[in-house]
Amino acid sequence: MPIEWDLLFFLIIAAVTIIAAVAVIWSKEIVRSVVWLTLTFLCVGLVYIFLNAEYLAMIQITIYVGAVAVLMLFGIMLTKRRLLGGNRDE
Amino acid sequence: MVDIIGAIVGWIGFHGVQHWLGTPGVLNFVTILIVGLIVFIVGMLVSITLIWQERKELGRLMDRRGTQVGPIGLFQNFADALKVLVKEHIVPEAADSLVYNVAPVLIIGISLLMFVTIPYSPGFYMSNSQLGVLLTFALFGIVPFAVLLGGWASNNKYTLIGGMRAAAQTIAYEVPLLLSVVGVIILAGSLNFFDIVQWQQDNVWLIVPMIIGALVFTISMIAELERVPFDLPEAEAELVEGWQTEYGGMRFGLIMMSEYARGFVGASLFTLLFLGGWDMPSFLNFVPDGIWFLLKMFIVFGIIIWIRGAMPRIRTDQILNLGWKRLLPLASLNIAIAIVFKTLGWL
Repeated sequence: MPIEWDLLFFLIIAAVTIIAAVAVIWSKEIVRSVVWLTLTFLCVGLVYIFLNAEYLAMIQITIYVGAVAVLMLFGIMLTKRRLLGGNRDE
Repeated sequence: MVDIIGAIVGWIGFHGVQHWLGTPGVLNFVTILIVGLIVFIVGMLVSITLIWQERKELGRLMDRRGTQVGPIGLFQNFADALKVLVKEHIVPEAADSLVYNVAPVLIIGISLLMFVTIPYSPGFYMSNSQLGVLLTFALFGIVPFAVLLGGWASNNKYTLIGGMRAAAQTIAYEVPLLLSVVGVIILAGSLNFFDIVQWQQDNVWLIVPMIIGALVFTISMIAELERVPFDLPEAEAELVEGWQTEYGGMRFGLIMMSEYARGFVGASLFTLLFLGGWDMPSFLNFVPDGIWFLLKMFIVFGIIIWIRGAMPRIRTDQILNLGWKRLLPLASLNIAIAIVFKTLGWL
């Protein structure tokens, strides 16, 4: 039976997107949440390539990974009192 | 070579394997693998040469000798690579071990992925995408994110400050960098590297009408590459080694290597967008295209090294002022000039 590679890769990427999206609200550490959110953005960009919208995919990666994720991390790190976890002094 | 393998496979008697190896799909896959390997090796060799060029030229600028091992110091980098290769890999106890290990993979992988988008000559390239310029800048945009992550995950005061400075710097230079390229895209009418170079061959090198854009692009690109005068994330006088303080062994070596890989891509971008790529005077046609491209690229990188030797480091608030109050208006002016040229039909 011939395998439909496009469908297979789409299913893999879609599964990664959903798992990453769940992990955003699942993880305790807020910086890790942003990392998972960035993975979601990247995978959505890859799905755009499957829809023959390469331009949209590039813009998605430039804006969301290059700008939005960096701004989120920047904001978190500016406002957070401790670097990592809770059991460590300043 | 392929005949010998075919003969051996036929002699053993795997006729099914023989037919499968000859199918177009397998041949296509193997071809892509070999081309990718060649582009990777050439890119790495050029990057190592750039490290050698930097150390030699900086030595000349500082009135010392630079690298010493081998003829004219060419083997110094290989000796250094061997040295960092045998070092132990240490994860700090208080670090976030997952993110700490993922961040350098992201940085090095993205830096090496950028080799794919750079064409050396009309016959030597990996990809010929209609969106090549955009793809390169999209990949460039991921690096500061990984830097910030690595700085945070090391769980050290200095690395965190280095990562934050990388983020602040990104906010300052990313917008002028992208806007300075818009003028080139307006005049050339394409996002494909081959179309842009072809337009420059037909008309004029874009550094002539777009001189302001070339200036803004150079300054923003030096900030993008995190080199002196904009090396705030690893200001070694204030922050030990900045965001990469906690990384040791081959990870440190590969992170340094990937900086020069990005330096190669940045200098190549300037060459392709403003200096006409492999374009040459017609009476020098006997020199191959790829040599011209690499020659221009080395000259551009030499100028970047010269700037490093001549300039002091800039402050964080100064880089924000520079990015938003100086470079952004200049980039907008550059776009206005491009639109005037395009609408009046001068170019």
